[in-house]
Amino acid sequence: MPALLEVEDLSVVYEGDRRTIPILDSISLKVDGSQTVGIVGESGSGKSVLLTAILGLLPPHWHITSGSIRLAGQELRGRDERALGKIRGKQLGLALANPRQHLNPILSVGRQLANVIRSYEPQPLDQALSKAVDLLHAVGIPDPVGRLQAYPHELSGGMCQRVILALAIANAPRLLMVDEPTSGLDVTISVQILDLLRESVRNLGSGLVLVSRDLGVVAHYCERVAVMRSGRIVEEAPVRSFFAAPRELYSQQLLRAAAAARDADLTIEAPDGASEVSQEMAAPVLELAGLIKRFPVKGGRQLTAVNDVSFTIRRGEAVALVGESGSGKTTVGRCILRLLDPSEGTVFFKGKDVTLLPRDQFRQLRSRIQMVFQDPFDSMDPRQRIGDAIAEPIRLTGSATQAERRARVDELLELVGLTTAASNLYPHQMSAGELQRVGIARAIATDPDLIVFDEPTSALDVSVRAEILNLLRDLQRRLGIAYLFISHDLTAVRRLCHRTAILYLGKLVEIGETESLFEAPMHPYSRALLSSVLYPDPEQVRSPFALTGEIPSPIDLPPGCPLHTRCPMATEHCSQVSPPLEEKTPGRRLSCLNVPALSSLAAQVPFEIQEYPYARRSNRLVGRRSARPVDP
Amino acid sequence: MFLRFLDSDLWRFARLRPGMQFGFVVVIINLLLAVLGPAIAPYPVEAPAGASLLPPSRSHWFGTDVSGIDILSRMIAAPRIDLTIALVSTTIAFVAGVGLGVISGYFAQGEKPGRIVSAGIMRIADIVQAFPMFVFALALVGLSGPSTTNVIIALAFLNIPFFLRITRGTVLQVRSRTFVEAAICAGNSELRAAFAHVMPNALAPALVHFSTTIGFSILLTAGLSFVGAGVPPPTPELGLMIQVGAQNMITGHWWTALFPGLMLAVSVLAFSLFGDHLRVFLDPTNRR
Repeated sequence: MPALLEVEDLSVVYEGDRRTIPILDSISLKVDGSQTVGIVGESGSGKSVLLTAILGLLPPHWHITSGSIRLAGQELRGRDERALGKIRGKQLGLALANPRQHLNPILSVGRQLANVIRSYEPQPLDQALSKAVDLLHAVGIPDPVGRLQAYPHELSGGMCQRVILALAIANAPRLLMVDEPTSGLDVTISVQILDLLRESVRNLGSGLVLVSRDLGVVAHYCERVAVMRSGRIVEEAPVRSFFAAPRELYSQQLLRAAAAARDADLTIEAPDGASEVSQEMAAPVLELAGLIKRFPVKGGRQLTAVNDVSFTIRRGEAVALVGESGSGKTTVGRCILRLLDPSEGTVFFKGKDVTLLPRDQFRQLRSRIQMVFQDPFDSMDPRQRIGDAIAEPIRLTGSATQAERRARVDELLELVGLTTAASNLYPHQMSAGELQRVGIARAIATDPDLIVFDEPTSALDVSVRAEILNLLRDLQRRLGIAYLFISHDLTAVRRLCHRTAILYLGKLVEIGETESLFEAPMHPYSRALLSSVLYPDPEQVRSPFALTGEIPSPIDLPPGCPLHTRCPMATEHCSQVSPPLEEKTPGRRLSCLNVPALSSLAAQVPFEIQEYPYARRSNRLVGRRSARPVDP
Repeated sequence: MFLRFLDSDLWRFARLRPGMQFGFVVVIINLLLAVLGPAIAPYPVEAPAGASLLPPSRSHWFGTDVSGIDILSRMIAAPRIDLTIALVSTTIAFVAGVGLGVISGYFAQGEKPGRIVSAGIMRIADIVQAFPMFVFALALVGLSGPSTTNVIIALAFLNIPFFLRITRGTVLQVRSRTFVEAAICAGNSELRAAFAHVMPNALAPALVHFSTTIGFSILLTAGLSFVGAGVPPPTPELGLMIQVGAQNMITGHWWTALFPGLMLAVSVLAFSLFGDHLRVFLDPTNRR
């Protein structure tokens, strides 16, 4: 009996005006009956091209030059569009990243599902719609009958991804192909989607090809893994043996980069805050007091993006602001930089109230507070040379001559690990990682007191991400600049920041020392968030502590704790009273009515550890960890 | 240099596109005629060179008009005045339109005073566009007599809103990119960020529209001359030639208006073809 999917010696080229570029180079891949195969690789490695080639959906100018693609023994290559169309819908299911883009914006969800069902098995609309309800129910959409009428823009990203999944499994395909199913989704939602995916594949008994650049996802949801790099499969192995001992050098590098992000204190020392930071006396660089930001939305209602956030950042301290999308973390950063005006509350910068400073006067402070942005390409003027971009903040302070600026640019380029030749390049001539280094150089050019990082690593590939984080740590230690590190990448936070603040729906739910918070999160949301992180380790035991449902809309928030709709610990009381942010154990403040304050004695044995092990660490790590001297 | 051109991206792009080659050649010829014009005309361009209304012949290829002036010579001389008007008016419209477009686009979603200025600019553009161009030109001529300057002013006014809208649209897009915020964080003022960072990245569509507008400006110049609100006679100008010739066409002297008309049509077509292909060439997403 032939395997379900057999790709043999597949090569794809791109034919440009000038030259032909090989994209895939003799790929061979086999998926058996009900196997789940993960394809990992960094961006540009050809993962998505492979999927489209299998589906026969290569765009113009892209051609298969050799090889064969067989689905259950049937050759797909060279089939005409009609025959392929039948096979695609019936035997192959596809779900892609950016779910919203792949739904038809002018058709209701029910109609789209019914169309797909009817196109392969003609039947009356009513019948198809009732099947659609079953499908929506199967993918965990609440109120499936009501949702039939919904249009894609009325659904959240997570819901759209569920609908896409429903479309993909509508005709019970024998092979499901999924491309980055969780990119752009929040961690607590991603885990729900992935669990759902695994369950659907099991129920259908079909095979699954899961393309992802997240090793954690593959480690937890696949049986086999294929690593791709520049159009080739460099290694293919069962998941367990792969993660235990990758054969190829490239796989080892990939794993090491991912693991480095996980185990902060192994590759580099824990943030050496103890000496500088624990001194409570250190002058705060930034202090937020009751910051509120509301946006007007249609219908005279208000969206509260940031709801009463207060915290301080001391000199030389790195504070992380963590939360899912819509939690308001970016808005906080933008209010600090006055890219937005806060609605209420106060921003103190070095003890001075700068909230009400007119923009023109705030401009004098720009050289003291800098920002590094998420997308390095988008945050560089495409028509400005790198050297000019870095020199610009200095030039605008008017304090240096051109020669001094040029010398400073060279110095900065070297500081961030680039050569001085880079200053003559344009942004499009650099890679994302290099460009992010430029962004960092620009931010430190004026030797500021505070840098706000807005997701500085989330647009980067794993290996580059690790390098950038190392650079940031290194710079912080050398220059003593305070960081506000806004991120949803918890591994990065753990590696870089002294303290961590967790936001949910604009509210600060928990804030404390990073290491103790990660080891023993106390707030239910923190626990769920931290347990949703998938480490590239198939042996990791995940906590059962999961949130249900979706993040509610921040428009016209109901009273009470913002989490009460999703929290497994919620009581009647939670929906009425908004919990204050209180210190429950020394150095840890959180806002939850159901977590008791611990006496200092009990605090020595954090009760979370036994009750909700956030991640079981392998023995190797435990051994190394305990070998470290404990700070008195 | 010629070899360098053959190796350039532009040539590789144009090779497969005969429309662009045609446009390019005609545009170049027009520019050459504008420079050399009267100097290479076989006969004087504003004085009779033979009898009135001679049909095309060996000595007068395109015949003579009602005053006995050689039509070919006038056609050779015409691009100088037509192109000058088109270039000057389009340049004025470009500068003003892009400047206003950057301001109105940049401040469209900002704070109160900026937003009002932005909306105000757009409403004024609406009014200008709603105003019939020919009536406006006739009124100008009525006030100060027919002159080249009046034609230029009328055409510039007409074209400002187009440049404004095109630029505004692009600016709105560019504005949402984070490098604008990065520029603010670097210490730029809003206006400086708008003109030093946003504008250079929003110019391409307006630049392309420039070429197309020149084509249509030639057409409009001719149109204005045709209704008597344009360049005063006896300046060699295509619209004027067509207007004068049109009266003779009825009596069977077809050559008086046909040849200038053809030249006008070919030039306008060439400029817009060239502009169109240039847009595709400059837009990296349309090209592989």
